[in-house]
Amino acid sequence: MNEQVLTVKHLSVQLETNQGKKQLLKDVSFNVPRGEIVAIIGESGSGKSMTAKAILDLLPRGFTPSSSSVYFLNKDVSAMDKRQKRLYRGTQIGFVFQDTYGTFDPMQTIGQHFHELFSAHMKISKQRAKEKTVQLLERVQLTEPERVYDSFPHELSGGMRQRVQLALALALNPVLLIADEPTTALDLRIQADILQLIKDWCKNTGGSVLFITHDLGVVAEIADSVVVMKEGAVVEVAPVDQLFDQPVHEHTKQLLHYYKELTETPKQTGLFDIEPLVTVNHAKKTYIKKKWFQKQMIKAVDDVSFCICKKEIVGLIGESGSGKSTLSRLLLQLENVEQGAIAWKGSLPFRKGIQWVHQDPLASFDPRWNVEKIVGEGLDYWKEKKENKHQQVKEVLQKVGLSENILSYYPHELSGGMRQRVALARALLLEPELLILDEPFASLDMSSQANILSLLKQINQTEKTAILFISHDIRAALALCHRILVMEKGRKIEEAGAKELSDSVNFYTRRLLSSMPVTHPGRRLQKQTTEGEREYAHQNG
Amino acid sequence: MRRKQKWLVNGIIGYLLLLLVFTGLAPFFTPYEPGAVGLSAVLQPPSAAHLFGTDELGRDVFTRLLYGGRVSLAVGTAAMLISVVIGAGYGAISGFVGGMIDRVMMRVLDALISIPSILLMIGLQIFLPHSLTAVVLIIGMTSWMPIARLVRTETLSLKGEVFVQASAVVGASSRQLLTRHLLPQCLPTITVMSVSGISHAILSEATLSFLGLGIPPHEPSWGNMLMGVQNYVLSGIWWIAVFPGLFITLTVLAVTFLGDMLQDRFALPQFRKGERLL
Repeated sequence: MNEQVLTVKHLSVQLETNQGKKQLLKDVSFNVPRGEIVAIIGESGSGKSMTAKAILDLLPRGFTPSSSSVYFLNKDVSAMDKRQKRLYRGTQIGFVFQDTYGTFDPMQTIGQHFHELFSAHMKISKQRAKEKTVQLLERVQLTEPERVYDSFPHELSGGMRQRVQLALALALNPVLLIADEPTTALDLRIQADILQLIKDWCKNTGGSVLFITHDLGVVAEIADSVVVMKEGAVVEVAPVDQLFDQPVHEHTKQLLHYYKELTETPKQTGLFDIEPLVTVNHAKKTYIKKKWFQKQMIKAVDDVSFCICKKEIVGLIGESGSGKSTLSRLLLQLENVEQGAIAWKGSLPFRKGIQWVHQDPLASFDPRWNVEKIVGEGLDYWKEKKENKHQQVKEVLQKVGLSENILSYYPHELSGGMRQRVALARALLLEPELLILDEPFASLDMSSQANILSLLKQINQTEKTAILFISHDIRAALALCHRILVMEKGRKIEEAGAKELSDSVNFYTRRLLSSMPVTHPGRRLQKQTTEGEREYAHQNG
Repeated sequence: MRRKQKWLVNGIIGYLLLLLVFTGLAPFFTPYEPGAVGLSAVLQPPSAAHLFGTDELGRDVFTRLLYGGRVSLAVGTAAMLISVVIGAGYGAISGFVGGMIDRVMMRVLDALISIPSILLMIGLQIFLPHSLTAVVLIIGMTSWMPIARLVRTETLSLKGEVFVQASAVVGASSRQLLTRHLLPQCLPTITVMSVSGISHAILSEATLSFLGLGIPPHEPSWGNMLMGVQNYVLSGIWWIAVFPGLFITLTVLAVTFLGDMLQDRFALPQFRKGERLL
């Protein structure tokens, strides 16, 4: 049983550049035993994906891996000839990437993708290939496999595409599945489903999984053992329970600390004014989707009422397509409500008092402006604040924890966490009373998430800014917010304090809660039973 | 552009500067008057006295090239400026406002484009006096349509970008959005279009002059110098055609390269080709 499917021994990768050689991976060693799930965890830039690429021998030109360091079923991968490598990559290893769109050929249907895969490695009739594909699609719990078979990639949602990708990876019964952040871009619920599928596959076929992620929650949920990476080197390898209970390396402890911050619901929900800042009354917004001659009405926001009080952090939780973003656009007056009203009780002008951080900060910066111009833009439009602009910009950057030497940087030169902070600085410069954050954690790794989270808490306390936190990530909302609204299909279905929400009886909220990954590997079993009980209770009551 | 193309850059800038100096200070470089007829020296080949030879009326080709360059460059630049201003403004407004106004403006544009520009030019000529200014106006007013269309398309797609909305959220008015974010984004397109606009204007001027509708014949321009010289070229008198033609070609080429460099200068920071040229 202890046979090693994959052995990585002293793997190093060098990049040759004009400035000389750069060591990207240093002496990476670990094993993947048969039937186990091994997770590689690390911050962005720690070399996780590079390791996966080196294992697959897919490194781009200029990257030179050390030879004889990857062994697959005790065979040296670098010594394989072309045919063997094809076999190795094609049939014995399956892989799933984070990008669910780029991995598909947009001109081919899902069925054609499968057919191509099958016919490359075996003789198979078209009819038989289709049968097999439909079977595979059923296995990843796609509800209409026949329809998916004939669909083009863009016709499927991100979650569906990820399932298809998984089906493709598992189509030829590989020995090893390599998954590179497969759930990072997805809703928590879809993430839970995908993780379950991978776990089931592992259990049923005895295959091994190398799972790359930045999220300790996912690790707690799925992994048997963990490899912690930092700056291109392995800092700790341990079974999952041991890693959570007795971390050895400082970096692991740091990650666990961040993770705790992200998952803990604060006990003190904080005292806040009950003076309302903005009230939304029966807001409604519909979009009309035209398809040929049919018009389809989509109720993006349907009769939603709520209020946000001064200095309060409110979470707005829902899956993609639940109308969260539309609601934020209504609040920002980027679109007008059709019915109902939004009343602003803060100081005027309204436009200045309510600011926004978009889920993709990079897209929200003018690409030809540098940080100083981007952050300071708001001052140009509000006359009374114009003087000593440079000073004000510097101060606000300091507030969000950025040094002033990034003033001359362009957006594309910043890292994900820095971009988020710059966007935050731009919003804070106008001293808003309400800050709307649209999925602020979507594109960040776990440590940046924790940093931004504590920054937000701090801003809320020192600046007395109310925050509307929009996310699909119920975990982060519980850690940050005082009060949480849950939306489904454009309707508000629940409103509760952060502490009360975890005892909610609403079916939808329960489902969202249960999709949260466990906080500790020891809770895995426990969660399954409680879920079973609730399901049972729900059916009977 | 790579370093090895540095000589090209220097060459182009040098050529354009020289051209400006020579045409601008034409009286200092030539002893002749552009309109001075010398019937004793008709169709002389290039010599020390007449650097580029003389034409059928004995006028010095070199002198006429210098004075003509003034006219051609002025007409090209001025007409281009007019067409860029009209085109960019029209396109930006149409794209930014959208809706009914956009639709009406675009149909008007379609109608204007469907008329051959030469007809449009002749049509306009009827209402305007026969002068240099008129030629500039006519060329400018008949060549802005492609620019308008491109700028509209870009504005339309940029309008939906998140950074434009983000700017609206921090308080930018529609006018500020247009001038601070949308139009600067269109600059690379506008630059390239306006450069090809210069060459288009120079050629249009030649066409108009050929039809007798352009620059009045007593004033030389590269365009009207080329007029009616076909027969002479066939009988071996090459200099009266080759020199104006050469200058038109060189200038159009130089301006086109200049446009390329400008495009690089205006490109998004991450797409600049490294070394800053201008």
